[in-house]
Amino acid sequence: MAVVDFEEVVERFYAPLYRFALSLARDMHEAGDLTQQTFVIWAEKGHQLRDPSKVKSWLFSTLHREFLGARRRETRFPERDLDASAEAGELPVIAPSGEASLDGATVLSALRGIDEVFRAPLALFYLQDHSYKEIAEVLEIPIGTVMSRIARGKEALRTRLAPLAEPEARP
Amino acid sequence: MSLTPEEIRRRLRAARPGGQDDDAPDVAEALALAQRDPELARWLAEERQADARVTEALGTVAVPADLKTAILAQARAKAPARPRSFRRFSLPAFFAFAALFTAAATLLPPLLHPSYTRYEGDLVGQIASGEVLKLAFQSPSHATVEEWLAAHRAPSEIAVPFGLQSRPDIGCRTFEWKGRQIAQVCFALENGKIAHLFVVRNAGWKPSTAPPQGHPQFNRHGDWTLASWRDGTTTYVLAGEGDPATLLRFLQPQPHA
Repeated sequence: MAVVDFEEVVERFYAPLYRFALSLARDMHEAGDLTQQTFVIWAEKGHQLRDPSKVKSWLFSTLHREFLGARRRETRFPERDLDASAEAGELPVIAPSGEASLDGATVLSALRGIDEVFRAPLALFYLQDHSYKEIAEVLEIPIGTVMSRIARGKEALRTRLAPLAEPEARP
Repeated sequence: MSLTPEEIRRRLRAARPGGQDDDAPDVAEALALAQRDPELARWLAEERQADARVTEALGTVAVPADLKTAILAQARAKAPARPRSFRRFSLPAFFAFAALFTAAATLLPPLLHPSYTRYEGDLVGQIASGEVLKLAFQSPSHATVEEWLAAHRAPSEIAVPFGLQSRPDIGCRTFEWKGRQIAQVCFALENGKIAHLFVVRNAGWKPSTAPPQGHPQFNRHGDWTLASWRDGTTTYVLAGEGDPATLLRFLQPQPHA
């Protein structure tokens, strides 16, 4: 059994978990619910985790599963199997002055616009808390697939950010 | 060169801009090769600069001030007892704790646990499965529908939105959700479609993300839009096919005379 203080876990992870949830969910209300639900499950089952170093992966993985479960219940859409091995093409370039003007809401809005298959690994990547190996563990997909999805996700994200950055880049 | 430039880029795109992954074998190999190639080295510097800005921007996204408090309150209600602590308790203290724990385990989860998103998600599930069309009672009269709901211990004093007051009721049903009795009233619309109004009493149910008081929030689920709002101690969800504008016309306040 992992000896981990509950409040310490909440203090350490609630903000990055919420930001991850926000990148997946449709609004802040759903993100708050997902974050809370993740800690409810941690309160119920976290004591079963044997390796304290896995707390972070466990929490993010649980939140992602909760999100997917909720979406399946809501939409009943069949799961898609995208070609994860597809290589990324040349990425659109964001003008430096435009990049400098990026704010959280703009990035979040652009992130939400890309396919969930790419969004989840990309959000974890940009949240800085996860290596690509940890992302593979959280999303339960191979490392090579994570790399490809991050590359494809960046392509999609920059395509969405480029027009938003253009007006700033013009004199 | 053992890796193609494209493979080098693919690997380095997955490495965090702060250099935390640079020692990982996959990344280290690509990094060493990129540093020997001026074009790749320039590309990598730009890539990391762009990534750092996105990371920095995401880091500024605000987290609700009360989220941590809500998490601690909600999750503690579900936390399992720790067997090792019982030995230190005296017998009366043990029974007091046991009674308290039993009461909390019985009362708190149904009151605190269900999130609003889950409620709305379950309603959408019922719409998708056609469960919402299995009406238990049919009548065009709203007063008669309310009488039936009251007789079945469901919420029955329903503040029907002004735009629906002129539409005939089709009927109603009631069902239990997480220990709460839900009333569902169906209205016939001009276009031959149906709108469903779900009503639940809030008493004791205080999800942190409850719908706003007095005005609706809209969520789209496939072909359906759900508008939800609180009115005093009652939460309403109106579900209809189409976009939010379709529902909005029913939710306009009554014009003043």
